[in-house]
Amino acid sequence: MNRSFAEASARERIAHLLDAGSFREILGPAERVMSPHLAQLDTPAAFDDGVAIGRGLLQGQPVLVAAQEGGFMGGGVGEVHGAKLVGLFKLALSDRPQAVLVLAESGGVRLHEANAGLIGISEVMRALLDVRHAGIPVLMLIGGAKGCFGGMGLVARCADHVVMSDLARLAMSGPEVIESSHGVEEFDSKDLALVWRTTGGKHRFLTGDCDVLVEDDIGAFRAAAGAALGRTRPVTLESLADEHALLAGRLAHFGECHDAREIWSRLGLANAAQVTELDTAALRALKSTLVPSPSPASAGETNLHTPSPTSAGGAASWPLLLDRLFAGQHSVHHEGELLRGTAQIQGRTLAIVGTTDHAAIGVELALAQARVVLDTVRNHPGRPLLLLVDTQGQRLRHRDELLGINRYMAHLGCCIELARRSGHRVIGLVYDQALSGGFITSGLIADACYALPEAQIRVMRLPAMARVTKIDEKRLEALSLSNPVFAPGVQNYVAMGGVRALWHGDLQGDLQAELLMALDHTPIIDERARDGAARGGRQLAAQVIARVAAA
Amino acid sequence: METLHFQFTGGRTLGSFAPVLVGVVGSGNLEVLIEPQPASGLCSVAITTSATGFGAIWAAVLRDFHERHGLADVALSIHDMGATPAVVSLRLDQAAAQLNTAAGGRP
Amino acid sequence: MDTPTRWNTLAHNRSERMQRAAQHLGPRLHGKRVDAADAVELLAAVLEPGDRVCLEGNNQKQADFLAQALAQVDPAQVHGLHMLLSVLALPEHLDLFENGIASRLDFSFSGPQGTRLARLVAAGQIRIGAIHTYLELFSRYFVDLTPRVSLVAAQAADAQGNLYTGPNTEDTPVIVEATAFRSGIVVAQVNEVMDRLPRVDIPADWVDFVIPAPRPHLIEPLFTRDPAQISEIQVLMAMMAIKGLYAEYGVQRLNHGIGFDTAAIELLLPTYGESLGLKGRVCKHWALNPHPTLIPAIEAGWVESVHSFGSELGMENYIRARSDVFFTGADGSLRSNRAFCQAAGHYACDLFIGSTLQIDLQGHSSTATLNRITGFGGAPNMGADARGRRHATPAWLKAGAQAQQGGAAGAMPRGRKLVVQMVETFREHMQPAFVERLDAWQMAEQARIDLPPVMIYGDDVTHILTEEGLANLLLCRGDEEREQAIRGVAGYTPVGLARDRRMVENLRDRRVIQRAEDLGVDKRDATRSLLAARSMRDLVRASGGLYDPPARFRTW
Repeated sequence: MNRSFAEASARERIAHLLDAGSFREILGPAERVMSPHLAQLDTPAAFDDGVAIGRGLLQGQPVLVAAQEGGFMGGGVGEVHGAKLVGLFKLALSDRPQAVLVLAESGGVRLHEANAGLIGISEVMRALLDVRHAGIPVLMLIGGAKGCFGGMGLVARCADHVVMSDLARLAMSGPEVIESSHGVEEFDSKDLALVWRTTGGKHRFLTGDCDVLVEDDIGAFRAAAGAALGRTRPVTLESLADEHALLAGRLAHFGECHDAREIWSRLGLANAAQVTELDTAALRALKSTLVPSPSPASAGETNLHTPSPTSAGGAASWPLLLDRLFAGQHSVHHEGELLRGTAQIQGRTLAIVGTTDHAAIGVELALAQARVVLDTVRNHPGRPLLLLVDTQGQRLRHRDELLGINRYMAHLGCCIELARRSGHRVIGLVYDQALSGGFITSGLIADACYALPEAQIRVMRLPAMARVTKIDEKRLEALSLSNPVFAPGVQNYVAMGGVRALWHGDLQGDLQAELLMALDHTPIIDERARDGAARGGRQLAAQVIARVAAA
Repeated sequence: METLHFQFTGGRTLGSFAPVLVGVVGSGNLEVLIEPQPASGLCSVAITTSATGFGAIWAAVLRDFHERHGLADVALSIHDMGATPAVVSLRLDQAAAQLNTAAGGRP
Repeated sequence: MDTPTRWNTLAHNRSERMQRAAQHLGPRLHGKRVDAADAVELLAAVLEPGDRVCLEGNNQKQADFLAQALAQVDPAQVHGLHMLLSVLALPEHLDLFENGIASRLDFSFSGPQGTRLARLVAAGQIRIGAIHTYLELFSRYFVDLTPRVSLVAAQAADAQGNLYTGPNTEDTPVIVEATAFRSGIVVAQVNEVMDRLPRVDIPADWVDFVIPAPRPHLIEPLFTRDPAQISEIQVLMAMMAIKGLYAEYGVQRLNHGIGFDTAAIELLLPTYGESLGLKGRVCKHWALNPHPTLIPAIEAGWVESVHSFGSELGMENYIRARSDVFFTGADGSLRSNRAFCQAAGHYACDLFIGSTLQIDLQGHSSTATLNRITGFGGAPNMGADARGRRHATPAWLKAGAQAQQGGAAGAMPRGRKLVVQMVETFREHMQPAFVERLDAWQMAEQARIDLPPVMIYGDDVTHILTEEGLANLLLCRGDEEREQAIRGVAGYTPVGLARDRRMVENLRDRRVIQRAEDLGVDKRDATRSLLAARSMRDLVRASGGLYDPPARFRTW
């Protein structure tokens, strides 16, 4: 009997995905671990903050499971929600289940708690990668009508396996955001067929961004999850190099494509227009007949796109910054908006990689930065990496979503994580702007992220947030005076624990001292929730993580 | 937002049970949590709602719910986002039905 | 000496207009064909000030090119037109009044233009003659509102001027017949000119001018409802309708008003209706547009015939493949006809069920809201007892008998059509559907029309169905019972909360009011999984791929 995954609530999905009656919830609704921020915004909270987590059995095997409720605030990740996910991954390290299943349905960061959501999602990524490193598979099951977007789209591509239904979507930016940025010709958000062609399960399956395509049926998801139990894909230099080649190859083969159907044709499908009519079984059969084409070694990486339009000025131009940091002892150059090179400090060599000109992080830039990180890991064991962050956020283009920008950005994140795990210290520095999701998989996934005091960090400006949340802008301004959870501002990020410290210093030596301090004293475990609690900006996250991890 | 409280007497107790949750806090919807409240003799209801000024309707809806199910020693907690009385009654009945099943009553 | 020509003034005047057209266009008139670029000039030539002009604005199809052309004529030359439209849907329809080309209006429905229409009326720029139902307006075309010039839309024309109106034939035949046979002039915009038409819907003799338009005429998919939007409450109400009405009265012939409530009923027939053993016993014959949500019921063998007012975009191939069910020409495409379907809905159906915005304590139901003039469309024809009807069916007799229960002995037995208003007690933003006084009263004052615009009068309504229950007004004795029966299903609205509890209990005992449980409907079964299709894709699959939804409904 077919039971629609999309129509089911998060709890109903868990109930029918796992072995009957086996789910034991952690921090269930009766414990009322809810958002402390929504009441002041006149929004009702949910008892479980929109995500149900716990232990259960799948085909008799122990698993941990998290299911996001898309009906509550679009599945957006807030402080508690994110902490529950982080806690669950930490619990996996001691529980050692056969898999961690994440039933993802989310728009990404919950705007009402934007800063907590952004930092929380990067904490989820690090915790997820710890679980993979421990040899426990992480499965993303994506089948909700709202899809898996934003930061959760990045999280999804950090997992071992992705299962999608053809009803679901996996992407970074929603089509409405792209349309309001660059117009209806760029991406007509009302052309639903276009939206699903670009970001839906079938397209992701054909390009390989989802491993298994199933019907909208909880039973089908259950079977797919069961088949993946115990099967990990270790993250190694080799596996990331393969991933890099695949992504570069994709760019080379399909970078000029304007529409998904062109990509499908180039993949070898005789009748690309038919794809949308096929059911999942037929499409699976069809895909199995396609012969994958060899990926050229470094193709697609040479052509960095022209820089995005820049806003006037910048807090500190990068040459000046590097002079202040390295007193001329550096050979960093820019190629378009990419920064890379090396620098010397007290006899130590650092690898430098990042962006400038408020770059919009698109597929090329994500890949180019990943290249630098991989090369460093391969050729310079132990060399620290300094990530220089100046970004206006992810690139808001149809083409980048079509190619799967979330996978490219996740790849960068995984490369940085590999560097950290391989003994490289990785320091992030926001020296100008860090907006929206632009630095989740760079600065925020380093050992720690620092910032210059004049840097701008935000998810969204208040006027735009007022429009989207339909909360009066004056109210948002007033609340932001006492609560750092959503408003723009580097101080808020410090208070929340997302930025470890600001690097002050007008005098030449000061910035150098900060960098040295960071290189030698940045913890390699994720202490941001702890910092957020100590500083008062994020009072619940650390507690919730601890409670779940000890459950 | 508005917070409302109601109490009803004269129901039958179900003893202890695991808390029951139905519904989702989405637009036009609500979630209802029912927990045991032993030895209180009451069915108490706490509501947080984004739709203000409908206290009289909540009172009437809950009164009728109590008449239908007559629960005692329970606490109902509701997060509401502008559901119509039809949806509220539906969720309350769904929660009570789950309760009966959970407590071994007739489904 | 009396000249006989004063008895043929219309015919003479028609000749004059035709001559003017020929003179002005010269070689640009090819038989009946006029180029799009010459449309405005043609209209200026054939129209005269004060003319009654019927402009085909149907519920679905619009002669939009001709509307735009008409809005461009010089008001110094052509003014004071009296416009006749079934549906006033386009901005150009109101531009005519603002541009000083038209001054009087008779119509039936105005939908999207309701607010602007109200403003123009208030400003004195439009004089409304009356707001009609479709069938009423069509009827008046043959009595006192005959068009002098009609501007219609067709799919295609041939060289002679025969027209193919195809699936969206709609109002065209009745408009053209009234005009052509009273020496009027008929101008048609067509999507294309063909050598040979699939079939002839309007004979060339009735058509004077054919203009190939630069774009296909507008058609709106008004009757498509995405099953994904049907709520559990609507499923519950649909179950109550099927059990408490269709099964109870044995309704074989019916019309569904537009909306999600009735779409839910259509989607429950093959599932819930099947579980009650109702197939073959109800819902065989329909006066209905080709609702995509009826597909599962058709496929499951419930439906013997459907006659339609118009077509529905995307259903063309499905209809073609199901010619046993739909009315199709020898060419295989649908033939719709609003006038005939309205008559069918009025006389040959035993039940009408539809939704509304407001109901008062007498059962009068209205969709009128302040600051908007929207009109009636066809619902009042469907939703009215057909007192001229004489043939009997079991449902009609049963309803009639119920109406006379407790009445004077030996009274003349009558049949009665079931007219059901189906509505949730609260609408969006917690607006109650039940009110003491309809907005229609105030709206009538605002718009300066004679009567409050009531869609369905209380004495035509036989049942009111809400999520709270089914009220059978036929069994009510007197106004007070009727009022309490309405309050009894009005739930927690102020109207409902003010009920006389004892009376309502008594009405429930007498089964005048039936709650879901009284009908044997288990609310726990009222879930979306009971729907035979829960998405547009399900509908496409149910149709075997024949249904091709318009782009706005497709995610694939």
